[in-house]
Amino acid sequence: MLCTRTLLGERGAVLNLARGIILSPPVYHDEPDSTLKNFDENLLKVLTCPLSKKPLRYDKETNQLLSDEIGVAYSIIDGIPNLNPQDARMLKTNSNINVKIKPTEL
Amino acid sequence: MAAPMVKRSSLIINNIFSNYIRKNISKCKRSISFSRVNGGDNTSQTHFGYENIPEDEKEERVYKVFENVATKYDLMNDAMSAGIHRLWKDYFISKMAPTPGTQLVDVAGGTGDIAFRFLNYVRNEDSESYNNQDRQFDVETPPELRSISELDEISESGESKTEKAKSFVTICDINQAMLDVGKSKAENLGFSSETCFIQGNAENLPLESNKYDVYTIAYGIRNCTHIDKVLQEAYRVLKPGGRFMCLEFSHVTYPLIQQLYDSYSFQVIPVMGQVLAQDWKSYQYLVESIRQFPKQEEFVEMIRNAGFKMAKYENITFGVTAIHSGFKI
Repeated sequence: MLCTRTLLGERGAVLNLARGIILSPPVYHDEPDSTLKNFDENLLKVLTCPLSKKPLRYDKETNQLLSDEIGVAYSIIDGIPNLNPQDARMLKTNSNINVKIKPTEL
Repeated sequence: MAAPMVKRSSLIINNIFSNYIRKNISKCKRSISFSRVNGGDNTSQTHFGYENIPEDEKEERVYKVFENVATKYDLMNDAMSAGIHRLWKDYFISKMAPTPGTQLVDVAGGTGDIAFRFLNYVRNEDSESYNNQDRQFDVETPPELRSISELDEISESGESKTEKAKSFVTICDINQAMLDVGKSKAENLGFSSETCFIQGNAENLPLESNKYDVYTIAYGIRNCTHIDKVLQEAYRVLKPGGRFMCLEFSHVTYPLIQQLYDSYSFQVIPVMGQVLAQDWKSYQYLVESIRQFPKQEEFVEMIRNAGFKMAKYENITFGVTAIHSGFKI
């Protein structure tokens, strides 16, 4: 039965729960792996700046994504780009972006 | 009759856990705060569970909640719902019924539950598709009528190779910790080439417009500060004809079951959170935020206001969870 398989199967809920409680570390343990850290440049095809909705430029040296039109930089952590406007930095002033600015005003 | 029995059982649950709480109250950090904080003249307020906080603070506090729970997220989901959340998510994907080649954007999809289920589903679909079946016909079909799922190269000059689009999931979450868990899961399960992980805000997606076939947000939208902005962004990134699907905890429709559910939510879940994840507060926030989320009808109206057509909802498990859906038509 589908339910039984979901609940008790190989990666089933009950087994997972038991594993989590009885044994120590969870199965998906973060290991330092260089492949995880590299930013995949194919992502540039799907990503845009969240504020200007324009394409981004990848800067390898600083490991950042730059939005040249509005002068904003987004960092990349562990290969995952952080495109949250709240965490972005203004290139000119090197300060955090003022969250109150609405995208249309930029 | 059912009513006294339900009351009795909820009283029993009450008794057992209030005893536990009384014994351990100094250890447990409880933050059931019903205080009404009046913000200054310009700060608008929103809810964080049963607490009223300035809007600017909500995002940060939600971030901290999920940072704390990230490593034990899957474990706690299994514990709190006795594994039923897996059935809900499986049902959600079966309702989506994606075809191979679908471009999915999964928002608030941190640990990848929906994304991986989606990929398994389309992989199964793929293996059963036309391509692998031996269909021998006597008639030679003209080139222009050949099925688009055929992978054979057309050798006539000037015609391009018909390429089948690969199913792909863009997983977006605001929380780095959740994404880290999701990314390592993807590596372990072999989904790395079909997923990409992005940290971003659902209210301001770093994605191009009109690109995605399906937008999903599972158990994430109630944590967003401005639900209407999330819906607008969902509308923007979907292709015309694209589908918005939301899986979220909702309001129980039957009073008897609601009593049991409330007792379970407020007595059992935070205690479980303290025992298994050493985090009472986050799980208190969880159950409170469920109550603060708009009811099914109200939320479906918000979906309509964002421009989606054929907006509807379906209750699962008496309304404990609901699937809301709309199309960009």
